[in-house]
Amino acid sequence: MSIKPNRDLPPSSPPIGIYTGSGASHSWLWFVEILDRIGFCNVHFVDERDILSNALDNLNVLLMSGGDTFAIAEGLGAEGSGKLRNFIERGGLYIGTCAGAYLPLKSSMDFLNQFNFINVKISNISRRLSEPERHSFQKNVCSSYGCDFVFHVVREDVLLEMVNGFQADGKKEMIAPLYGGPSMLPSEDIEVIATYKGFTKKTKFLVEEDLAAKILMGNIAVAKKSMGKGKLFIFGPHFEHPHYPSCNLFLAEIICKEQEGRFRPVQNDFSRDPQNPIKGGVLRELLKDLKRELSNARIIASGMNDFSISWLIGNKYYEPEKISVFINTVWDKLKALESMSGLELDKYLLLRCVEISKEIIKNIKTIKSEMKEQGDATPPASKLFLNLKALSSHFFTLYFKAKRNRFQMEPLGD
Amino acid sequence: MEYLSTHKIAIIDLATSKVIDQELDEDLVKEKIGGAGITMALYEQYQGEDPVVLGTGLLTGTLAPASALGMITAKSPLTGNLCHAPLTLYAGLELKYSGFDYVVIKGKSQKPVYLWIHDGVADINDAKEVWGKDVWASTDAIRELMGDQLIQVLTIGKAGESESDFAQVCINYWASGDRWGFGKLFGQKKLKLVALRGMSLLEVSDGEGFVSQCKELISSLKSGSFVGKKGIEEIPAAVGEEDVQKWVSPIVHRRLSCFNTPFPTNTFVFLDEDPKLLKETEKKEPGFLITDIFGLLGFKKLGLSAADACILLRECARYGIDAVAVAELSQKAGKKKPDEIKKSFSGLKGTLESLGKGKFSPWCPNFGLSANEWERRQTIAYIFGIHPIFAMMAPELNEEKLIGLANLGTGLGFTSEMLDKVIADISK
Repeated sequence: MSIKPNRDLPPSSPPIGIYTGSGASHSWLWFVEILDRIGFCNVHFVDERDILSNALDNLNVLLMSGGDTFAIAEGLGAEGSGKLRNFIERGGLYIGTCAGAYLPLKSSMDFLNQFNFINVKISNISRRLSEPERHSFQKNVCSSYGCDFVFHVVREDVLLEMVNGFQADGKKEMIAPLYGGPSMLPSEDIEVIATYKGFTKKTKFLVEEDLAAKILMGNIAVAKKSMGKGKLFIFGPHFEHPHYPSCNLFLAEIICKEQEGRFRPVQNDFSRDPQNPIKGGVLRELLKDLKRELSNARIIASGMNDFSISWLIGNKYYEPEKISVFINTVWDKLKALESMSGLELDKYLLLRCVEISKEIIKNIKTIKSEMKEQGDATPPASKLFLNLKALSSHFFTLYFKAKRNRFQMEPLGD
Repeated sequence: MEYLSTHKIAIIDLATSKVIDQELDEDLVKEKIGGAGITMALYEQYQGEDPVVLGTGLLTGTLAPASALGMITAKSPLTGNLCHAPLTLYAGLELKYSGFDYVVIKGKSQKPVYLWIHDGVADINDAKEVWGKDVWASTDAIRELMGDQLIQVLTIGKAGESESDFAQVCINYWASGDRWGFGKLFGQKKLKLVALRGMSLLEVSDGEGFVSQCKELISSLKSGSFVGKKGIEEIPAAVGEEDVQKWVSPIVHRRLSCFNTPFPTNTFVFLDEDPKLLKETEKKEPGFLITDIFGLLGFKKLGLSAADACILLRECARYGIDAVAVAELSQKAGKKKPDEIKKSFSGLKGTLESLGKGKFSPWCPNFGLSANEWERRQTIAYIFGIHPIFAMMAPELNEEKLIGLANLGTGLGFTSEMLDKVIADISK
């Protein structure tokens, strides 16, 4: 992997990495959406192999979104943990939401115990419950944690109170979506940014409201910690969800504030493949091939959205509607990509996107066939979600590179 | 074309297997408005290349009441004239959202092909897996292949493949309003079917105004003369056939509307299952959807029971042949037994008295209107994409209201003078 400096971007584009490797679910796509909206285009996608190959050396910011914390920790391992610690201590900014927030918390569990960057305990763990309370949870809202289990009490909107002088979009209270992220107990190791304050009409209770309130209210939703020259910001709720602009703004402000004066040159991609740029008619044909396969994939996937089924992959449940989230996010940006003037893309990566899209169609057909025959659709679903992540990360690598290229071609305004 | 449109026209050359995407020029919309106005213009543009044009109306697929209509425009092998056949159920909707407002299919393929039109992509695919299959099996096969049951399929059966004069382009499993022999054109082109699916979005110029006007129209329709009636079996009363409802009602199971159409113009009958059944049937093919009143009437006039008439309608749909032609020619030949009639599908020949005289399919009854009034209302329906039968039943959907909706939707400033000109052009 080599990274060649190109030209400096204005201070709106720190090199940002989004983790898409083992354990990452679909919510990293929300980071893609808001970074694109904000105008950050120095965006890269890293998996555990990239991190072990020192990809973090070239980044200012690492965004770790939701998914399966155990799988993320196992994928990174002790070596990955060391790389992550070095990245932060040397000035890197780590932003973790949901699973990305659990990852650096103190734990005695295998793999997770290699991190332990933040000495904080969580309230949503079964050891803090009475015996009757322990039995009030459905299994799909729990994750095994040794002799205990981590559980979730609500989904969708929660009301947060910003504390210690922090504000989001000029407000001291805000609504954010919670999909399994931690509720943290007070600790001297962190600075509290926001606490859980209440529920809204859109809060979906997974247990009795009283129990949900007992677990969440007054506990910590968002916190930060300094580590060496860098910082960690951890979010129980998904501040990156694109339907919550105040949350998105808060994230953007953190990145801008924490990265002030620390911008680096534009990075090339972490691709291991040889580069072969194409443009004009050849590119249009290949983009049409991708559009064809993506359309086929989203049509076949659309019929699955109403299926009341989920697949346990690792420690996380995946529902069929997540398939369309991946495909439609790529689909929407494909239109934006097609409309860029002077477009030039890497042929191999684009071809890879086409091939993976075809694989995705096969995966979905296999899932449907297994379900029809009442077989086990988990193995093909597992392959499918790997392919969806691969497609999305390859595609968005192309996308952000095209945006950087366009930026470099167009003269800067005053 | 920015609004109420997916902006594109597909020009598909079956002879060369080439597909060209064209922008839908706003000037063309200003001049021809949409639907039959534009399909005719496209037909004329490519008329040297034997085109079949698929199109949607300006309001097709929107919140406008009864905005279900798409159309096929081509030269009828039966009349030799340029004619329009309606695409109802969800075919018009799906065509609009497939990413193309219009599709021109020109030339002839050397081998059987089908078109897969989806999300702004038009693919010409080998049809060897479906050629030779009947309409039902073809629809099943293509939906299975593409993995989606919502795909709308315009397909021919064996009648079309053998280039019968009375071959029909069917919609999914059911008869269509193609009374022009367009199925023969598909067969001549070696075009087995066109599969449509898309998840495009339509932009509306004045969204709030458009929705508000649609709601107002729907409110006004709630006091319409059709309220309280349901099903295709209610329609014959409007053309003097009072006893059809009583005749068919013992086998009626349910009624089905076309997209966003306030009156269900289709009736599902159970033939191999108890019509009173309220739970999901376990039979794969329990009955048949009646979509063509004149086909039903034709078999009734042969003295058949409603069940036998509907069984024959089902056989016609599977074979992809116009039931009206089958009924009329059977009567002329003195054939009255279902088996005998079914055997006559292959090689059916003759001259039809029921053949349409104008440009629009006689599939839509006249509801007692004069020929001129019927023709004008049909023209309006085919320009804006309004269900042709509902357009006759609901005078509330008048020209002024539809122009108003078109203006709110597109911001283009259509006038009744412009509409009159387009109607005159279509009627030439």
